[in-house]
Amino acid sequence: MEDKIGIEIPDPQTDYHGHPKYGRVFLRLLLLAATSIVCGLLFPPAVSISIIFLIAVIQAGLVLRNFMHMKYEPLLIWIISISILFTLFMLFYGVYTDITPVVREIAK
Amino acid sequence: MSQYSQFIPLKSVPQGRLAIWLLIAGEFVIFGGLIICYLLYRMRYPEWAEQTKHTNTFLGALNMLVLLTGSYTGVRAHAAALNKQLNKIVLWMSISIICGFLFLINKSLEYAHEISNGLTFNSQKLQDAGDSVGSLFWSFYYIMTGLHATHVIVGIIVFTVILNQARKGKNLHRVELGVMYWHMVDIIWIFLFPLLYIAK
Repeated sequence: MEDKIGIEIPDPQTDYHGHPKYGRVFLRLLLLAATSIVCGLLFPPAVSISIIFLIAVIQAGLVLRNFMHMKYEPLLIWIISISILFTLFMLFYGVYTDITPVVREIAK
Repeated sequence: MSQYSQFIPLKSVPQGRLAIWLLIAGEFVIFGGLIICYLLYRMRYPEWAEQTKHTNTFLGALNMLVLLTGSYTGVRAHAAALNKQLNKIVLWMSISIICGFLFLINKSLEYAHEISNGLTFNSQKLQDAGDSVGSLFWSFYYIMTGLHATHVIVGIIVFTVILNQARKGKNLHRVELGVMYWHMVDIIWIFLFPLLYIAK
């Protein structure tokens, strides 16, 4: 599709989503990154790994929801995303006993 | 449901967006599998913490900043594309491309430092010292970060092609699709950074 001066414009269908305040999201992402670094320095490894992984999940959620406009996407995209999470969840439990020594120790 | 999606509850997704979402889904399975295996091995071998002390947290954090900035300038390019502001598209996308190159420069500096210290893929130095478990860490490290860096290179190429077309006012809808790929690369680093650089 072209406008009067011959510039191709995006198909309106591709822009059915809204536009959050990107600057605020960017600042939040930077703050969260700084927080995870501080947590890594302050807390013992067992605690810090859990906290920084949680922060990483929050950061990924912010990028997905706001920068990738997932919060405006129709149901189909959500179904694809949930199926990915389910696949990874199954993979985790599928290989858990192969990699970790838990079952072998119980068997002993 | 948002105010926008209530009007399109089950609307079919435009082909380009659906294709990029499917590509991203596939990439998440690949990297998700690697990250899950890394986490499980990390639980099995707590001594990996000793190896993570050799990674450079400063350069990792700098790369995080660089990728997040690239993502931010990417969404600004997308907003400019919707308003047909060609000069702004060129400006914001160029900054994203520069961020990609900065990431690769930082990564190569890191690799140079680690390789010069004998911390290589399947490290012979560690194996000679009887630390085959530590050697496994570096195999994971190079596979995950190397695959990620390859995606950054692909992102730079994609951005360059789209920028070249957008500069002439063509295919402006592709700006958003390219930027979505960049965000995917960003999200992967969001997980790699804490696992490899902070959890020591």
